[in-house]
Parts: sequence; structure tokens; C-alpha cells
Amino acid sequence: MAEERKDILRYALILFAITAVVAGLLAGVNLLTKETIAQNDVLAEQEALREVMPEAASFEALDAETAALYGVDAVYTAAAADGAAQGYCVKVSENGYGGVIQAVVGVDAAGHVSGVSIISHSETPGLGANIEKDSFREQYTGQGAVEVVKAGAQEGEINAVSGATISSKALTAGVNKAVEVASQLQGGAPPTPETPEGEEAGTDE
Amino acid sequence: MAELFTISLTAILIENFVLVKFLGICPFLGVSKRVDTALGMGCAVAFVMTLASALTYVVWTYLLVPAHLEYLQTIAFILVIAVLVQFVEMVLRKMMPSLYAALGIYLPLITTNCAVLGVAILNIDNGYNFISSVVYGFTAAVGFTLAIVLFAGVRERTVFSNPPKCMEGFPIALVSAGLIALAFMGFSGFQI
Amino acid sequence: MNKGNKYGKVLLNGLITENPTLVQLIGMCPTLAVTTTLQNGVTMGIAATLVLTASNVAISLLRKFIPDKIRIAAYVVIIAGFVSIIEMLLKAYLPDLSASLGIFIPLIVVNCIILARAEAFASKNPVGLSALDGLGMGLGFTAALMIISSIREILGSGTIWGVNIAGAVTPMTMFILPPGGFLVLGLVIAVIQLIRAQHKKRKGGDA
Repeated sequence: MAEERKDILRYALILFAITAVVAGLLAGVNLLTKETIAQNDVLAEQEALREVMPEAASFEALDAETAALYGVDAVYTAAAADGAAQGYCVKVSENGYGGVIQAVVGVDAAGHVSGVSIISHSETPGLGANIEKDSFREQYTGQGAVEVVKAGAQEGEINAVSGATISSKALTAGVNKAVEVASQLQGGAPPTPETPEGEEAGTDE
Repeated sequence: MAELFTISLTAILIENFVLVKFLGICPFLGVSKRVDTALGMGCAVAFVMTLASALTYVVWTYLLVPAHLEYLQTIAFILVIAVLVQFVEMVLRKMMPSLYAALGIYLPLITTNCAVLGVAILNIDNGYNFISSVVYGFTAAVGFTLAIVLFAGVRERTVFSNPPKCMEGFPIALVSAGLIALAFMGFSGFQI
Repeated sequence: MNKGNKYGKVLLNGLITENPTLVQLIGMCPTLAVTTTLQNGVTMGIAATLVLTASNVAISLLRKFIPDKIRIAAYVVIIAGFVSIIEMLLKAYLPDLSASLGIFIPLIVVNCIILARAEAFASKNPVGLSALDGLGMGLGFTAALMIISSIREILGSGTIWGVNIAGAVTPMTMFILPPGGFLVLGLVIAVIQLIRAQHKKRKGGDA
């Protein structure tokens, strides 16, 4: 019995020693890579912002509560090199066909979309995933809120990706939301009261 | 409540762990020659996955995050799962020998079932709270069980069929799994 | 000469004769999940090879020190450690690839190939051989992933390594969706079985 207990103690010690060494090693690697990883995140974000609003020189994030108040993920104010306000970039999430589509939308001071960039999505490759294509996203540029049509889009409309109306509509809903939020911010208007469907619940998948 | 319903339906049908997310393929292909063993494996997995979801959530939220040890996620989770499986095995053997006799042989296999570690990591990635995590863990396992039992049903019949020599065994099983996955594609894009 | 032969044999064993994915049929989750593009397949293969070689070396070095009863737990900890290191390095230096492989990087921990090699080879053999075994098995895994992901990318997206070759084939989306993964893997294994059967026949059944 005593022998057995001694064995268990020995096993526990050995396992603990291995775990401790491995954990120490990980802590070291973490220390080395932490900054690069954080920088990557910032870089990726800045790049997305610059893509949707090429004219702006700098971006500044509004605090998280404001964004939450308007029911979007994040809001950035864009400024030109001389400090003049250029408009807003809004990060939105919408439920697409295969999951959440997250995108950044740039809206200029006149309330027109200056660019749309998709951060993440899980749409079907070859169909819904085509919302990432430039030819689709460029349709939003220069417009305000838009409607989705199957083909032959006029002013204020865009053509859906063929075979992927749900994905197209989801992204459009996000873009329209961004346009609305930007115009409210521009005019200093309070956010529209959130309807229940805008709740965070159930949007995870 | 609505959220939990969405999570459940998503985990079981729309994003079935095995057929859409490709998690837990090893037991899916390994333990699916007969319906009854497949069901046994499914039950054992459901048991462990539900417990593992709860435990890993607690470890993550109350241990790793406050201590800023997020980078130990993988190692901590796999240890929790390994210990949990060992513990479940011991408890079952002592308390419920009949259940142990039925599930015992599957338990050691579960430590290396990627569905278990997968669900633990996805719970954190998806930002689920405790209840949602547990529900997701359980329903994902239900989805796993559904897939493996359906698949075993098909495989029991392929034994009597006569495929070309080179297709015998694994290849024909994989092709039938592909067809089942094709059927499950019908669920994708459900808006709840 | 004799010794070199032995090392070569261990390497080839993993790469071809005992190829973990196509002959031993283990490590199926990543094989199916990440093979939608060739680039994903190769990255996953290299990441797994690094982990496999490193863990084989570590386990072989510690094989006399780790008691038999807790060996699995100890192996899992060591493997998880290497996986976490790879995960952090990928996130830091190849963020796009890390994002597209997603959850399947941490899941290398439960890749049966790695634990199987630790248990079957590294725990019984000296360091040099274990390293070669890890390298061979890892390269075999990578080769299998490359075969499957090229087929799926060409047929499914009409591209190869991201380069458009849509003129040559009309993309069939089904091949990059889950069902396509099962079908392609099944057919590739069928072809391998066919080749092995032919081979055996030619050798007069002496294999």
C-alpha cells in the first residue's frame, strides 16, 4: 500500500515536472510572439479601413459603448491628412447563409459608401463566397442605402451574386445599417431604438 | 431559450460535427461497422462532451483568462479531457458496472477524439456562456451520434453488396459517407 | 552502408510503405477538413510534420524517464506543447494561413498519427531513428494531403495554388464542400489499393 502510494506520488511529480517544463517553454514563445500577433491584428484592421476609405489618412475608433448603442461592432472616424473629417467606417456583422459575415463599410461625409471590405465569412465557396469579389463589392461604391435585385440593377440597386441571394442580401443589410449609423452620427441624431431582431442573441452561428 | 434552440438545431443538423465540420472522423470511420456499437460510442461521446464543455468553460473563464494564460488553452483543455475520461472510466467501473461494460471499451478512444477538444475550443471561439456551452457540447454529440448511427446502418448493408475489389472496405465506406454528407448539405443555409 | 540502409528504410516506410493516411488510414480529420486548397493542405502537412518530428525526438529522449503507467498523459502534454508553439508562430508570422486553418491547428494535438508514432515508435527507439520516423511519417502525411487537396482544388475551384486554370476545367463546387472530401479520399484510397494489389501480383505475392 505504502509502495503504491509512493508510486502515485512519483508519477504525479514526473507529470508535473513535464507539464511545468512545457508550460515554461510556452510562456517563453508567447513572450516572443505576443507583440507580433498584436501588431498583426492592428495591421489587418488598419488595412481593411484604408481599403474602404482610401482618401483618409488616419482612423480613430469610437468607444465600444457608442458602437453597441448603434448596434454595430465598431465605429471609426476617418480624417484626412489635414485633420478634416472624412466620414465614418463602420464594422458590422450580419447572418449570411453559412454563418456570420463581418465587414467594414466606409461611408463618406455625404453619406455615400466609399468601399466595402469583408473581414470574415463562412459562405459556400464558389457561390456565396463570391461576395468577396471586387466586381460585387464595387457596386456599393458611391451609393447610399441600396436594394438587392437579381439582375439589371438601376440607381439605388445592386445585382445579387448569382445563386447566392441570401449572402448578397446579408451583406447589403450590413452596408445599409452602416449607412444609417453614419448618417445618424453625422447629424448628431440618437441611435434608432434597437428592435428585438437586432439582439446579440442567436447571432453566433 | 430561442438561442439554445438555434444552437441545438445548428449543432445537430445544419453544421453536423462529423459531416460538415469534419470533427470526430476517426471514431466515425473506426467504430461504425455495426449499429449497436455505433450507438454505444455515441452515448459515451455525448457523456464526455457534455462534461468536457462544462469543465473547459470553467477552466477557461475562471482560471486561464484571469491569469492571462490564454496561450495555455490547448494544453489545459487536452489535460482536462484526458483526466475527465480517466475519471469517468473509474467512476463508471465502481458505480455502474453494467454501463461500464457497455461503454468501457470506447472511453480510452475518446481522449483522442477531436470532436471533444473541438467542441471545447469552439465554445470559447463562439463566445458562448456556460449554459450555451453545455447545450452546444451535448447537441454536437447528438449530431455525432446521429451521423455515426446512420452511417453504421449504411455500412451494415454494404457488407452484402459487391463492389469492385479495389473499392472494398474503406473506399466504399468513404463514398457512402460522402453521399450522407451530401444529404446533410440540404440543411445548410437554414435561417432560424 | 547497413546503417544508412536502415535509416533510409525508416524514412521511406513513413513516406510510402506505411503511409499514415493512405495505407494506415489514420489522421482522417485534418485530411478531410483542410484539403480545400493545396496551400492549406501543404501548410497543415508541414505543421504536423514539425510537431511529429519534435515530439518524436522529445519522447524518445524521455523514454526511459517516463513511467509506463502515465505515458499517454505525458505524451499528450508534450505534443500539446509543441502544437501550441507552432500555433503561436503561425499566428505571428503567417496570420492569413493561420486564419484559414483555424481550429485545425490546435486539433493537431489529437491527430492520431502523432500519438500513434509516439506510442509505436518513439517510445522504443533511439533519438536519431525516431526523428527520421517522425519526418518520414510527416512527409507521408503531407504528400497525401497534397494529392487530395490538388484534386479538390482543381475540380472544385478551377485553380491550383490559387492560380486560375478555369479555362481547363469547369469548377464543380461540390468538390470543395464536405461530400467532395469524402468522395475524393475514398477514390484516392481505392486507387492506392488497386496499385498495391497489382504490385503484389507482379511480385508473385511475396510482399
